[in-house]
Amino acid sequence: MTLATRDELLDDLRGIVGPAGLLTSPDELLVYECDGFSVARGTPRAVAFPTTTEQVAACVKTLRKHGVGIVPRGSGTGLAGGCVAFDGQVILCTSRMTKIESIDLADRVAVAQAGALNVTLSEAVAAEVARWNQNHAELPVGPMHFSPDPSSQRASTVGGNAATNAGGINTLKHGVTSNHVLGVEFVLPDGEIVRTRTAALYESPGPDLTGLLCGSEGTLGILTKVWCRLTPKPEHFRTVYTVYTLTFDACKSVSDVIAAGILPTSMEVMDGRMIRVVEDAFHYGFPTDAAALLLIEIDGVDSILDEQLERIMAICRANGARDIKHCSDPKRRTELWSARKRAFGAIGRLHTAYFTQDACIPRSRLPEAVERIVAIGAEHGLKINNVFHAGDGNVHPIFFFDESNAQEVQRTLEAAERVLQYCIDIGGTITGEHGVGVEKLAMMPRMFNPATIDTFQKLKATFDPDAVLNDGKLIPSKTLRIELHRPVSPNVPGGALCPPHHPPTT
Amino acid sequence: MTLESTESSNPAGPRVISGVPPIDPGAAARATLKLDPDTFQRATDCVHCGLCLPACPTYTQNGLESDSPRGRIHLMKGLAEGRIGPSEAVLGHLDLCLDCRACETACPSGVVYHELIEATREHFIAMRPTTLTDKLLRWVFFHLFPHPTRLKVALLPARVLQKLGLWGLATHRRVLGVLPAQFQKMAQMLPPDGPLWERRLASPVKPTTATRRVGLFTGCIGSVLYQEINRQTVAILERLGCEVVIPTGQACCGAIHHHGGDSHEAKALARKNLEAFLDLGGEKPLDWIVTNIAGCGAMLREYDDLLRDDPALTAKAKALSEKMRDISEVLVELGKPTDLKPVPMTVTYHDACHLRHAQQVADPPRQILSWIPGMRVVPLAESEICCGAAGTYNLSQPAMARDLAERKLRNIAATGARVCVMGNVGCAMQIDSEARRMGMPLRVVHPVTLLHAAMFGGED
Repeated sequence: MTLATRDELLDDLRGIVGPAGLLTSPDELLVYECDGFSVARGTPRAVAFPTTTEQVAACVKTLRKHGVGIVPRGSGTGLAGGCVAFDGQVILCTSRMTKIESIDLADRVAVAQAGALNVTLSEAVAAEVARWNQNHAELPVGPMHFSPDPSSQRASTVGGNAATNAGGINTLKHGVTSNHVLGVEFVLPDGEIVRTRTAALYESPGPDLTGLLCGSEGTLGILTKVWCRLTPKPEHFRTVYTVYTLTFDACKSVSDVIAAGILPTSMEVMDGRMIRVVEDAFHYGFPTDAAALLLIEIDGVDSILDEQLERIMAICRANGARDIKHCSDPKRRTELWSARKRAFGAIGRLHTAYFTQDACIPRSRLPEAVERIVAIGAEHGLKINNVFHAGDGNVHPIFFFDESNAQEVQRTLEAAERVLQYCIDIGGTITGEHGVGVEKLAMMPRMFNPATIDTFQKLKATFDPDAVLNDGKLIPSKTLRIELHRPVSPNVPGGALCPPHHPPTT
Repeated sequence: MTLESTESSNPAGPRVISGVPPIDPGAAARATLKLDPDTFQRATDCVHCGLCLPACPTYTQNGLESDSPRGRIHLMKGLAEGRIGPSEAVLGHLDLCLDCRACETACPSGVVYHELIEATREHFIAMRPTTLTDKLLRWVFFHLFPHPTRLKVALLPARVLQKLGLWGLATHRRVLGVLPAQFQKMAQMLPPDGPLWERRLASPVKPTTATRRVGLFTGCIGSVLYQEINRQTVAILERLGCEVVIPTGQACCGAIHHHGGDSHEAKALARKNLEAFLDLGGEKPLDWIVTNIAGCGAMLREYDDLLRDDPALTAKAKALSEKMRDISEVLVELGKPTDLKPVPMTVTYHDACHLRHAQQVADPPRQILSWIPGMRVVPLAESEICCGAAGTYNLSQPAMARDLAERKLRNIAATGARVCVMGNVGCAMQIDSEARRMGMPLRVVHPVTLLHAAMFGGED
């Protein structure tokens, strides 16, 4: 490509988003080289900041005209490299599309631009509820919110949540993002704008396009607007935290609570080392000598919660819980969950480099699986720690490594791959909520049979025949393969995060 | 079809590129930023999670990752590793940082961001060209503001004009327009009235029944423009049974110098204050040292960091840091005063960054307001987002400072309160002057003033 066409592209983009809406200087682009998964890095050719759907559409048309790949990005809090641009792709960033267009309490739907932050939306809804109740004292409404609560929810966007079908702590009872998205607006690679929401209250007829776009990681269309379901915000809680001498017992308790027919809002396990990390950071008063901590929360009608609480505590006791405490004080509860949500970040206090795996396994296999994962780590000479959404069987083994030690990086990546393979083998999946991005792309053919992969590819081609949207992510691409190599020495590539070629396992 | 069979049917196959850039062994040699290892560690503590983004005033204003804490850390790391150079664009993003430290409150990894940005700024400040206005500004920051007497002399003409009723005319855009923008802004920030010559506060007569000895740090700009708050602080503390000591040897806290890249002078001032507050001759040591100015309090609390290279003074600095309190913390510790009179008023509370983020003081001022009978406190949206004052930031980055002030005022207006409470001189001047500029009726007041009214009357 010649210099002249490069300039023409950037000039065209500048014409759409204005000079302040386009970053092109290589120094400034450095900050867009990765997301929360800092292993995968690529420098975009430019980053554009559209403010409206129409600007997104115009940018897409221009980029397609110039044959340049497009990568959508929100806040860049993802953990799979899904919003990183490779191979001269251009990033369309939604950080200036933060408008909450409407909040309809009666119909319980809020319409937000893709770049609106998850928590900002819920705060705006709370303000709207307060305003409504001031003017309608005779018919007050209860608190409402947008339920999906990924740990990144203070920073992540509703568009990003929908595109990755983000999970969170409350998903056990209240569902993942796709359960709370009523419709989406997105831009196709030819610049056409699609809206899946047609009526105020009802699901739209026809195939579930909304469902298809949720979790498509920017490979089918660029989300520009989300119709968010508003649900009553639980007002009554009981929060139990129990301490175990064995992680196995904590996992067994989780399985038994579900087996007993109770559906808590969340069930979270942290292993001993994670307890110490969190305790050091936030001083909540967790016992630092415990092997595992299980947090269980139930919500619902106040009068029935105490009975449920008793049953849960009895199950924990029967599984050998060393210490059982419960609280209903809202302030302490907020502190407790804030400590949990900031657990990953707190690791930075101990290690400069870590990465968090994300896989799902059948809940009933949790006790053995956690032991097996730790054993795999030991076989590779690594310490693996766990903090996970146990209720969903969603494990997050955390691998610590020294970025400057190529051998250790290599061992880490091999161990991570074996953990994922193990999860697949016992009937699990390679991701619970972080998505595939580039990080797990190579595992897709292990997860799905050839006919399924082929169907994914055909679907992608229907929306994006020239493979311009987030090519090389989520669905194995015929045009671009991004390998996560880390050179062991300057001349010898090695240490792939997931080796690029795996024979499909049977 | 598997990935492999895709390739076999397409002999060209997909283009393969590396998603992990090779390490450039020569980069380090090109690094333009040299940081001491402790400070560099601050950058590597960042795990790039992004939880700081929504806390950052500039990122939430313009949506640029390069104007976010995570992005700035990435830039500083890039400079220190030699991956990028100190281009105007890069330095511009670093300059736009308010150093408000909201990111430190948000950061789960405990990154001490301010040390990193302050060390980086100090490093680059020396090698940048300066204009005449820059030099004048630096003279004002370093040689006028920190000296109460000089500041009073400088303000005398303005105060005379105010007394004569001519200040409005003098600050008219067409008159002031001849001055550089930063100086116009300074003139706007001057509170519209005050004494011609503010008197220095002396230590009050020693009460016989005092249970605590409290040192009062009066501040330089604070003691010239907001001395009344210091007087009220003394009256409240005395009523609550404290002996208040106001050492005459106290100097500017050094924050202006430290944040302006002159840590040498900041250290000299720190030494003066250590002496003034800790070497009391034969007198009983102080229980607490208090200030009602968040910016100064934050600096004084961090003397142990500032003087960490001076082993002779580290212990002393630590002792001072440990005694240092914001006035609101001391008042909460002393407990709710009895016989408070109602102050019927609707107010909202703004968190000064140097109180909320640098000192992690959030509840005590709110608690004090909740004591006052008849007072209604309406929560302020984005109360923890900087108002744009940020020390001398409103003079060096007027555009962003103004945008942030307007955002703050919009949030204040939405509360319906006509009174905004805050515990810092810098915020008070910024919010007060911007409200006047926008013609918004707003009274800016320190929590001490309201508590004083509830204890002694005078707000009817």
